[in-house]
Amino acid sequence: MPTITRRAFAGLATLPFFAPLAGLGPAVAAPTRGGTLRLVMATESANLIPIDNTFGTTGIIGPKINEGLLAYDLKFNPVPQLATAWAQSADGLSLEFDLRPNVTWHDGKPFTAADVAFSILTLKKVHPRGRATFANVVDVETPTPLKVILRLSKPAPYILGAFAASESPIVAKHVYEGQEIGTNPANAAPIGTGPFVFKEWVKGSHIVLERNPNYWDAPKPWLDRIIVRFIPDANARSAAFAAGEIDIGGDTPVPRSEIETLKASPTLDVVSDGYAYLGNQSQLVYNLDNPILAKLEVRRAIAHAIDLKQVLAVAWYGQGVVSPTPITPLLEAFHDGSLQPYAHDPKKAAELLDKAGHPLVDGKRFSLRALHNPFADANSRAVAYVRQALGRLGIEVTVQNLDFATYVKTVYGDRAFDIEIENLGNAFDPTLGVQRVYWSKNFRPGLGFSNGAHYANQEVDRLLEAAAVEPDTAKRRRLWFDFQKIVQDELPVLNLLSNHSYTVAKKSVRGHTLTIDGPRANFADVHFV
Amino acid sequence: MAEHAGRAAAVPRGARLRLSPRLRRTLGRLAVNPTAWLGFAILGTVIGLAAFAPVLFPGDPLDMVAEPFVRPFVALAHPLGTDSLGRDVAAGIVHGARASLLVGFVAALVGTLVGTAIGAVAGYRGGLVDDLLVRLTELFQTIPSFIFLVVLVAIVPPKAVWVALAIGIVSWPTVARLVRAEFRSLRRRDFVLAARSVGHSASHIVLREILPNALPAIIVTGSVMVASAILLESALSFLGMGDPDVVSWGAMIGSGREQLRTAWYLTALPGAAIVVTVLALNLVGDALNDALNPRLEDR
Amino acid sequence: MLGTLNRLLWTLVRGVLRAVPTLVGVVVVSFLLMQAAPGDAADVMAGESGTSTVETMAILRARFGLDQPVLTQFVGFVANLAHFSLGRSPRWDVPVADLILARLPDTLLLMGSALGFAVVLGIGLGAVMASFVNRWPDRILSVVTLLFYSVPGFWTGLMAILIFSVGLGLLPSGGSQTIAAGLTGWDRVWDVAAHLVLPAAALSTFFVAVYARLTRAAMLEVQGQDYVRTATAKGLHPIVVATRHVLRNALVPVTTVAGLHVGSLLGGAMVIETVFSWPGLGRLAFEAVMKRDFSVLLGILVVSSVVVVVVDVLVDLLHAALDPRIEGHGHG
Repeated sequence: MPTITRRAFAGLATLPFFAPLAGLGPAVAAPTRGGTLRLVMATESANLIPIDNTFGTTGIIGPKINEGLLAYDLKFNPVPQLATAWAQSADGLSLEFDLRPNVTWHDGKPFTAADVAFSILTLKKVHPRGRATFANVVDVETPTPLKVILRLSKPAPYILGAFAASESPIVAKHVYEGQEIGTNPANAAPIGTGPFVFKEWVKGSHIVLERNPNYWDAPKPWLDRIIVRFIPDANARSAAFAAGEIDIGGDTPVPRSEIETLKASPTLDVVSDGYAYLGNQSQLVYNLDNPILAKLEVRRAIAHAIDLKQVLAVAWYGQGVVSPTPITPLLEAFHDGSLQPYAHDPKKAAELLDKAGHPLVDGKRFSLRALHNPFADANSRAVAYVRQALGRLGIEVTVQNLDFATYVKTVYGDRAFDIEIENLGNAFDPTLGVQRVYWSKNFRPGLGFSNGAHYANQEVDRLLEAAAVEPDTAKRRRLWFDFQKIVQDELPVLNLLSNHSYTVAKKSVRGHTLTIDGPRANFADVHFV
Repeated sequence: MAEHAGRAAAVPRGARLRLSPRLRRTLGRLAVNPTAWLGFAILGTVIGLAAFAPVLFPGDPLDMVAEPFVRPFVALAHPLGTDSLGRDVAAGIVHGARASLLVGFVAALVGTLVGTAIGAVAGYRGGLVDDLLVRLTELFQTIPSFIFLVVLVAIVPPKAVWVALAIGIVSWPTVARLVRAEFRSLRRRDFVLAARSVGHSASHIVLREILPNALPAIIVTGSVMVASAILLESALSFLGMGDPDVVSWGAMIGSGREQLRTAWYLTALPGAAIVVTVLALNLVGDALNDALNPRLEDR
Repeated sequence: MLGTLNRLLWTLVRGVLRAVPTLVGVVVVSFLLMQAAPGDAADVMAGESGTSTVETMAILRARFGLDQPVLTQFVGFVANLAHFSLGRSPRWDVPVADLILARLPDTLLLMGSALGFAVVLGIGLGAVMASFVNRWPDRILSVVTLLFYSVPGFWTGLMAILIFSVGLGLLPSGGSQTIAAGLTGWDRVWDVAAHLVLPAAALSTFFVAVYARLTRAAMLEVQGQDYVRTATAKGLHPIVVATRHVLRNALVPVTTVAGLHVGSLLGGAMVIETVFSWPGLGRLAFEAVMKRDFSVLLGILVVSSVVVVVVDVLVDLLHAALDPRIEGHGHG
């Protein structure tokens, strides 16, 4: 995780550091320049910069144009992007960045500390996660055009993990200042400092990005052009890969059932690295407002009835790892690996249900309404498994297929569900991704992806709030471990697994998975061989 | 569908009493038509499978009973293989016949009832009422029906019955136009005028005198509507808007489409079931149409 | 001559007059329907981003005008419409008209080729079937067209991709052109045509069946009529009779139905557009429903309704020209 000691990088002196990152294989001579990269995407987001949103697609396209202060290598270590050096004070109350000199925006204006200060304050104001990330930032000082100092009211131990382009993009102050962020035309035709310049966006069809000839990291970028194609149907995407019409796609661009076959493909690479920044995690959320599910025995009985390994195998084709605690194993620093899933034991489940006052009458105990987030196809399969597993216990589960809008409203607005399968990712830090699910103060009906269980536990609240401001990594780890134990015991949410995501790319495409956010990197290093 | 309107309108009309010999003639014509036999045979088989599904494949067809992705014609226990969740495909197709036929018939019934009611009132009453109802029909025909359907399905609970209702609602205008045309041509016939002069009420005339004569055309349209409703349900399922709680062929295609390239049979088999059934329904519709429209043989 | 002109004019005026209440109705019905759908654009946008706060939701709703009473929203939309504006899409934050216009060329291309192909092939097959009625060419073609009529469109489409794009590598698997290839002239025409073949063919199969069956039925109908019998009795060549009298009249029902299909195809080719990732209005409409981007959906419905009405008038005019005995068709 982020180091607190000062680490300085100065311009070209960083080159040796980058050497192993030049390609997937051993370091070779400089890649040849040229080529058009055809990147496929399933959905089209409403704009292209993740400055006021966290859309999946924005997060992939944006960083090619607008960069961040830092990037993170595959081990979560920060590496320079627009910042060349950074340091955090021991009390965690100030964070200092040295900025890269001689960087210009795509419109020719110089990039300075004012842009960074503006961007961070904007993120604090309008970004869904940025509000929390930068909540403790009270001031951003710009003593020189190439130095930025963040002043914090309280420590924010997660903050140094938040400066990737997909999370906290740096935008041009002169483009955004004095206008409402959400309606700025630059959101759909961005002006950045990145390796690629926005050229055109034909909605429903494609986006064209051209090489930035004035990029600060010359001779990069290697590519001449990136074409982003929108193909909504998964089979059509996989056919396009097979027909050689697509070079790369992130976020598992093909049906999961084809991943195993594709791994053996002579022409395509299938890579699961580059997704730890998202902290994938899938869970079954109980609605604790249901009097039956309010009983701990019932929740535990359901946990005993569901075999997490089966969920992983059946719903996700085994593509992931079982993750019985709220924190995904991807966040090694905080995941408590000693916690075991509830043993798969239908007999014990039946006993618990009997004890809870729900004996089997005419083959039935009670019925539950199950929903699932339609965002992932696997969720409908997971819910099919849960339906059967609980059905064998005499719990009748009715499943409804809802479209996304109806789903969000039904679960988080109307709360008209009993159990539901969700994918609430951890993001890069549990304070940002996990706290929202379990914090009693985040039970806010109408707000999507909040505390949908309606869980309230004072001790849990205390641990979450303490972990959010604890600068000492070891102590923070302790707090998160305590938290996981309580949640695992009280089961407001049955945590299931952490699924893998995959990048599929032609073997001739190199340099696409060098950072922890894989396809969300700036692609300056991507090249053809 | 307008073809049925055109052809059926040419059926010679008579008083109610003459229906019986006509029916006999109709059945006679059906009996010598080989495609009619084929259509009825297939349809009968499908209905039979649907009826005896619980006997043929006891238990919940949504149960995961075996390893996933057992290929068809490999394992005796699962002759048509299993899907990605290890559910028996043969059981799905047989049980799915129930939901698919249900969706088809409910949709056709709703569409036919609404369409017939509106068309009958418009055609019989004429004047301002007719004008208004024709406008209403036009209105619903102007909205692209598939968009209309998708909007409706987004609104109603995602249950098979609701999907069927929604399909019925988007299909009624065709029937309404047909029935209106029939009623307009029939209401001036001698037997209707006679019934009116005897002092029969309007409802009697509409239900007892005109409707039976318009029925053949309605039945033909109805049989085609069942077919198109099954197709519409599969298209909705393809777009991911089906009901996951019951097995229907559309739902099977919906859940198998992800494995289209790795396990083609998961979409091909229910797809084939749809094609065969829809084909049978259309054959029956054609045969009915030919049987009810004797002129073709007069040539 | 003057009489014909008058009749054509009258058809036109009648068509336009009839169109106004229909359009008003479409607007009201669509608007009410969309109000009934659960969730709104802000729910979706907040949902898609995976994280949201009450504040962002409020900002979004205020920006989209979703915090206004339903009546105010409706009045706003109608007022826009009165100024020939379709309003702005909350989701894309661009004028709805721009979104629709951008998709219109590709939509018209796909629809036009599919429908044109279907009409030509359908009438051809129908004519053959009618000429050989109840003999083996008729029987075989009847079953073939019925099969066309019975196969789900997406299935045809996906199979076509698997065979012609993935298997044989002959045609592109999706999209409407090679992007940013900088093609001009005949290269470009060829490129677009290559992208068009599969989706247009897949889309047209169903309509080929419809038109073939219609043509067959209509031709059989007309063959029995007096003036055709007269023409035959006068000793005119059967081919002349078939084309000049029979086919000409068979065109009436086919064009009527094809006219109706134009409207549904404009926004209703959703499934084929999804399969071939064709950037058309159907896909835009589907996304609009899913993302609750209702101003876009309303815009598409209004535009396609206008097109239906216009095509309806054109079909009337065509009929008036085809068959002088038809005095505007009386819908029914």
